[in-house]
Amino acid sequence: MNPMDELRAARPAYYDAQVDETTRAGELAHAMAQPRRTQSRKAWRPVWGLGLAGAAAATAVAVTVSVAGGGGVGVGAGGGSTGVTALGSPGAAATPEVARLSAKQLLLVAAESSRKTPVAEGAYWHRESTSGVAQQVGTKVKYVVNTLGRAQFWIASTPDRPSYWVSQNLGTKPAKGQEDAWRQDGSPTNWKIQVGTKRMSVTVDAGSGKPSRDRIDVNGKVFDLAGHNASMAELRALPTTAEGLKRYLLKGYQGHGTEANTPMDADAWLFQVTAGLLEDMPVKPATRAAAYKVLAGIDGVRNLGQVTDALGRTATGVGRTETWPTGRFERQLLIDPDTGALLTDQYVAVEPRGEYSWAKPGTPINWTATIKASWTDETPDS
Amino acid sequence: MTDDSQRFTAMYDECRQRVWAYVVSRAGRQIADEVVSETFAIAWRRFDDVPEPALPWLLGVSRNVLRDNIRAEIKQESLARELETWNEGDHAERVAERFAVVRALATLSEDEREILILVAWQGLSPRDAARVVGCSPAAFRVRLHRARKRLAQAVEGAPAIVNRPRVRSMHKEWS
Repeated sequence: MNPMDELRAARPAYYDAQVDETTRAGELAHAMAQPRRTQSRKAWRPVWGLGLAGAAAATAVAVTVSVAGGGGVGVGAGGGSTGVTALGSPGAAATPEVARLSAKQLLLVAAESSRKTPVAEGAYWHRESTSGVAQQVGTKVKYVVNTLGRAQFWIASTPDRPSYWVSQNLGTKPAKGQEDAWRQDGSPTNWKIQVGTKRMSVTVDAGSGKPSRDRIDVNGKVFDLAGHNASMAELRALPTTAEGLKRYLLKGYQGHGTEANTPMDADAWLFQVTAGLLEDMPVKPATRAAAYKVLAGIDGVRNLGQVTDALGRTATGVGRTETWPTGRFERQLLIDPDTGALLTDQYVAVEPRGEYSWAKPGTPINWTATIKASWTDETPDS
Repeated sequence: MTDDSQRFTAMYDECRQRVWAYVVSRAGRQIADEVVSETFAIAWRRFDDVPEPALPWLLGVSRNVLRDNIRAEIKQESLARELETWNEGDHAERVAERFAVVRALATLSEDEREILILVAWQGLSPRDAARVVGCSPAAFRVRLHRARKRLAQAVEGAPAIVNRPRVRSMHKEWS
């Protein structure tokens, strides 16, 4: 026998061994607790984004449980009996001047502010955000915990450099106002949460995790825009008028949502896709302004008045109610009117059902708050 | 279970042990479970990107996890222990021919060992193996040829001392 054949014959027995059932169950549960990121529909918004919308669908919520999370920010003040602050809740008091505006006017203000922002360049588009997802837990007594996370995107300006997604689980803690119930439950530091089918559950740990880095460039096309993968160059070339941008985006509409094949009407889809563009993508100021105007043209958007986001920032908010298999939720965009920056993107319970039936109206189910979104010459390794 | 979780479970059942074995041969069994678990977590996140067949892709991901998530000294220590077992063999192996070749394999460089293992133990085609290590199929064939020669020399010479594993920077990564 030549050495290569000898080597083949010497293949260790463990290559053909069976993994033991406990390890198998644990590894599968850990894997499927990860947020899904799909190349075809959504190349790089793994946590929420529309992930927010997907989250309202039962299965999507299940897989995001252990990972998503809102900035280690304790979910704002207020609390109420659900313990989750009603961030920009439907009943939020608006300051008089903001309250007088229609949602449409508010969005046009954001458009105008966006148009005035300076054009910037850099080696990387860097976005950092925190996110949170609320979940009801408890054995002796029920209460709400928030799983918090942080994510960074480093998107190279040119395709010759790698782009990365860095994510970190910041741990799970009782929501504000829920600490007493948590103590009554024995102050647990982990919770079992059912995932997807009844057959699988995931243990959510109070502790945080290490940051993990993942390469996300797919032939230089990193962004998911309206159902296709778009490169940095395509983003730069996007239309700068509302009509042009709307026409461009709607070409990707195929009657279903961006995350799954569940039917979605064109207005909800356009709202979703346009919000995603504003939240994630480095487009020209004029394109951002056009995007806000596209939102202003969508029916069913209401003014939430002046609200405070999960990081305690004052914002003006608009919301649009959507219906999901798990009930009705309001998609809320919290905007800095002075710069047109989209500060927070969140889902708030309106008439939740099923696994969200515990959530009182006004409870944010999940949220993503952008800390920073800017061009930089720093690199992900520095 | 949804279609995706069924498909994912099937992929896991088909490939898990192979990925584990690959990580063991690169970095020892002390850290293999951790790396495998993270590899399949990434696979689920990127399930729509996973090509068919999945194994070379999964091996490439585990290779990146090993590089990015595990500290070099831990890797080195774990691999050193693994290679000691190769060098010592067990009682049954000591008498067998396979002992000599595995011992010889343990003396090669990390890169040479990886190339031989991908072909001989994982059974990958040079094309798939090239994708795992991130080089062109042509470059892989050259490296495979060189590694085979080195293995033949090592079997003949069969040096008794185990090379301490060297942690090298990797080649072009899988994306």
